[in-house]
Amino acid sequence: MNQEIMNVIKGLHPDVIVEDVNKLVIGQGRKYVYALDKGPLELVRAGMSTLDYMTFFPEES
Amino acid sequence: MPANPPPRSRDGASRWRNSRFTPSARRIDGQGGRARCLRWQPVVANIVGRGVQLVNIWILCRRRLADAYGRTRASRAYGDFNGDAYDAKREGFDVVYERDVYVLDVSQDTDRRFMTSDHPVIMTNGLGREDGHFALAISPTHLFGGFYEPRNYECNQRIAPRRNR
Repeated sequence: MNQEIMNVIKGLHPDVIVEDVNKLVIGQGRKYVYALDKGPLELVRAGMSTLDYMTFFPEES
Repeated sequence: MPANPPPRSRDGASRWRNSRFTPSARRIDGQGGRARCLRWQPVVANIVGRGVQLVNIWILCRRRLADAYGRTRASRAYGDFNGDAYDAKREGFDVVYERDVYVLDVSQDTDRRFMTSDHPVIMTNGLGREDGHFALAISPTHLFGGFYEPRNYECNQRIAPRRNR
């Protein structure tokens, strides 16, 4: 099964992988988003905090 | 009630909360770390159950992360950082793929670069599925991922990822 998933990932174009990962990372960000330059600033402002995020830790109270 | 009541006089909710969040070597394994002190290495090692090998990979990931995004920013986003100075030649960190851990390198294939945020881990809806996996951008050009492994099902159950809003 892991090999199948890996084949699917390898079959994707790297552009698609980067774009999808960035979309999820921006949507999950609540306070900070880090990038190499300010190119995707509009993308970040439009998409930030729009998605739920998963965490391994219990919620702080 | 005094400012710092003894444990017996606290109400049930705070006693439960303190029992889960208080630093305790016994609970770190079961609950996947303390809430206020992110101990990523035991957490990730529990998830994929790779032990020493995965911890080594993870240390390399954090060095690369600090190198890519700056030590201070990486510290703020990923908890404490106490790694040594990053040396790419010494690490030799180009491709890692074994049964349930992989690192994708896209630097040769695309001009786009990964970003990261204060909630950088992306994963399927739950890691306990047969096709469950998670991924984390560890540098502008590298993506670190881990798969669900059936033989580690017990380890996965103990983590119990939560959905926050």
